[in-house]
Amino acid sequence: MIYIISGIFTSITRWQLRQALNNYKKSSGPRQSLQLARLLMKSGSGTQAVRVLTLAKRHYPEHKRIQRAYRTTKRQQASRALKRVERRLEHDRTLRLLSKACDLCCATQQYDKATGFADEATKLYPDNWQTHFILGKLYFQRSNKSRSSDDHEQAITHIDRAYQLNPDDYDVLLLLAISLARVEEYGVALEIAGRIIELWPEDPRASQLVRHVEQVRDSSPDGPFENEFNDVVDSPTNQFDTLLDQLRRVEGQSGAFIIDAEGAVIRSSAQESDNFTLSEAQGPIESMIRACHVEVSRIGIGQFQSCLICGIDWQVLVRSFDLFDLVVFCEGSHGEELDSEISDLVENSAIA
Amino acid sequence: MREILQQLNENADILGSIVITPDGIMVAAALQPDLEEEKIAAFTSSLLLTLKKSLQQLNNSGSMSFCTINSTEGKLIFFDLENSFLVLVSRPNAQITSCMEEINHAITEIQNRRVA
Repeated sequence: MIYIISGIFTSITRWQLRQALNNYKKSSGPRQSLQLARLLMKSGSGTQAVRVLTLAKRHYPEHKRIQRAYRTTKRQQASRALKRVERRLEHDRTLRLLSKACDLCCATQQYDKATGFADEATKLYPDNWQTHFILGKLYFQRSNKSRSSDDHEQAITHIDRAYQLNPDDYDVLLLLAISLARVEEYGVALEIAGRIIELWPEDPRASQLVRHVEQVRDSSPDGPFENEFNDVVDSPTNQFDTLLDQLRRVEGQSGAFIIDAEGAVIRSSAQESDNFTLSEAQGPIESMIRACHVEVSRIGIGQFQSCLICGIDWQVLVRSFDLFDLVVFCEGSHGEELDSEISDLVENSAIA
Repeated sequence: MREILQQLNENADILGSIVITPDGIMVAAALQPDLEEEKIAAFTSSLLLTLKKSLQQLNNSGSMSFCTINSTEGKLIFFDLENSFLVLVSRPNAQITSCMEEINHAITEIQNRRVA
């Protein structure tokens, strides 16, 4: 009996999903996006649901229901991912997995459970920069929720220790600058943000942070960073650097750009190229990404996945992943193999 | 020209093909009924123009031989015919390299027809 009922429900969901997909193909407005995302979640395609909502967020940045649905869907996805990580932790208690579990617990607001993972990391890997960073992120997230100054002080202590042990990590530097700015240590925060700009000149977040800190320092309102930088700990930016390193190994590769869900270039690496000038490529690349996502969804052949542009002795690949887009420039001719090579590389990297 | 496209669809096992001008006007089409000719012409030309403009801004002087777009429910392949584009619509993950001969033959015929 249960099987029959569940079979009927599955058929209804499939039919609804097909209808929602058709409606979305005709017009990818807020209502159609929300309906499709809800049904995708229901049918277990959480990744696709996040993709639909990410695109909707790009098109309708002011739409409150889309923002809310995006946050809820991401939380549900985090909850599913946490279950998977917990299963892996039964056999393998590495620092990377403990850190991931702790981050996912914070994303689902299970701070006690997150503390358990952080404590275990402290026991197994004491005085390691990553352990301190796990603790720093945990206290930082908890202080966002609890508004406790003790939590915030603890966050600064641990992030600062992580910084002492590894002074060149992007995420550590960014979180330290934000944490210090929150306690009105503007001078040191600006110094650290300056260091980020020195190391990653093309990164938009550090310059955005500098502008914000300067603005707050000059006007001094209360609670300066409540919304704008709260989600900074969710960003897997140091893994982006590793991914760029791996992409350099692709034969003939002359440039790679990582674009975030908002459509901004957040990481890049460019070498000398016979076919392209990539030193100021940010604007054209952002236009390419926007056009690929928007126009393909309008054509009515589903969601954009990749675009490969081929010249006689050059190729450009635009590839969309769950959390980011990637644009890779290559000399020579790889043909359609380039798409699968890059996809395999990303899917086998830590970022996946 | 429609006959050339229909022939191409049959020989290369693709769902549809269309020739458009760079400003999105349809020249000829042989598409399945569920694919709207004008919609495809307008949005593909807009996409291609943005891609070409972006590449020019990156100082790319070489011409685009072809471009493929993969999406969840299909694949588009564009060929630049200088004063127009040939757009092919196929199933997701279809390999076009296996039918390049048929495509090149159709391109030559289209170009000859346009010159005439």
